[in-house]
Amino acid sequence: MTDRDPLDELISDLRTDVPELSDEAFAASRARLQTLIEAVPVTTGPQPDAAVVPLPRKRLLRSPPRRLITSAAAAVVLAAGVLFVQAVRSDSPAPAASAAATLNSAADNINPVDEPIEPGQYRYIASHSRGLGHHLTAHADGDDTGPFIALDEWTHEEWVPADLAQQCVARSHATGREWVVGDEERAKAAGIEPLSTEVHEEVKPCTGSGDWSRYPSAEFLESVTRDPRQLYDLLRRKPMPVAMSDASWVMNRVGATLTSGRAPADLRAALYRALALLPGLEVTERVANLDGHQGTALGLTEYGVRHDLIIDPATGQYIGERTVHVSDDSDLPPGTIVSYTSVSNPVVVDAVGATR
Amino acid sequence: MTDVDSDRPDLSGRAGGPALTKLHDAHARDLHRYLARRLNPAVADDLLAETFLVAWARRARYDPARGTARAWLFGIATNLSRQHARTEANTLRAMARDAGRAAVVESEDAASAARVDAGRAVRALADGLAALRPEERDVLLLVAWADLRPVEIAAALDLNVQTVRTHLHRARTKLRGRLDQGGEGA
Repeated sequence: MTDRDPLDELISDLRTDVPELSDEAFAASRARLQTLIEAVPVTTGPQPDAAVVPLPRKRLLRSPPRRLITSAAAAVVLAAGVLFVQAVRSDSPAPAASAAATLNSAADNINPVDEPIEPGQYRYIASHSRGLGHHLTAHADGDDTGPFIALDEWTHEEWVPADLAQQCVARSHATGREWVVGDEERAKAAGIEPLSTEVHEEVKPCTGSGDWSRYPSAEFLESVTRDPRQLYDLLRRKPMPVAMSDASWVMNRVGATLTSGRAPADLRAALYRALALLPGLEVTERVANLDGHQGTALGLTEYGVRHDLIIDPATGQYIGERTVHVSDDSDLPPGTIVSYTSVSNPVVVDAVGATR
Repeated sequence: MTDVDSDRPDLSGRAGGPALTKLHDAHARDLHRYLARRLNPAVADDLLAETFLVAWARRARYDPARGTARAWLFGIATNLSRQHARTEANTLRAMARDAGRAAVVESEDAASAARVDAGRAVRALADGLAALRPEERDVLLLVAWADLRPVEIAAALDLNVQTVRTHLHRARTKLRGRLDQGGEGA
């Protein structure tokens, strides 16, 4: 017997003109789910920038591949979606006085003069990252071999010449992998390549991009306002639709720009003061330690994931950033640092390859 | 294409996460459409995500033997939409109003009588849906808009299948009454 009735057909014709689920809403929904399942972090290693990763295409989203390998870049997009959804719903409080005070004092204490650089010399910028840089899931047909989650460690070095018309040299290499879910042998059997510790060297023009990023151009950094309020407004401006709350976007962009090691001292100070205006930002750890460097962690929590920027208020030095899983609704214990990037203070060196 | 594994996956244990993500990708658009039709697209965006958060939290309670995961997800979405009764009432009211307006415009333009009747029928259905008891409306719309069978709805809403059939029967009877009045009168 059929359960359909002619009346049902009439009802079926009602409200057929509702708009389709948008790619953004799809990505946001998926991201919230993913965050619960795997606490995918905002990856902050030497991976591609969140801002330049396009949203996954509809086609890709509609038909999930049988064999799915999610890269760090995709993880960033997913995490970004999470933050967007949450932001729509929460009315964040104004920044806690202590976060603003910490940032303003850090801005006051920055050495206003960057180490002078002579023609022929380079600024050496080094960062060290550890995180769920690769979230790998493998499904062989009919044989569920996944998921695999690995914590990867990377070192990223860059030599930026005094004369920006010359080439920049970047070297990165993985320094280790620790399996959180799965193991090397099973991963290999599932077709996941072992971590290569080979050094990737990239020689590229130093032009950089005219935006807040890991590779901002000198012109851009020079041109932007130093007025904290105007800078804050500028930072909030998204150049493209990005599924991310304004606050998260600002944190993310400031983090990328500081991690670039290219922002001059006066801009770093202005960025700290602009960040002091960010609603919802709070001191999340008074003395946080990243690779032996200590600073105060200033964090923004959205949807179970906290993004901290770590700054030494006494010297104004930028120490790095990290992502902390804070919700208790996944298998990861709350408080787990799922990724971090520590940045060494840039130094002036005489040649590519020199580190001091 | 359907296969038992993807229709009724095992959501418990380690494989639950990837399985639920697959379900998300497979059913997000249908669920969203259902929610958008019942409520509105903005609320649907939110409830779609919430549906899967609830699904994740309750994954241990999903019993593949009782029904498809698709039906289970529609059940969760339906339960969540209950918290938005006012939005649903507004949507139905707007639908009735628009249909009424369209009918008037059409008749002034001396368009076909059939169109006028269609407008009246939509208004009668919208009014009728609004007047249903929530459980009757849930069941009727799960049949009409989600294409679920009573046995699936019973599993999805945790009801006895006979109860589902009763709700469905009552809902249809009430709506038919409205159509008979609205379709001929005025």
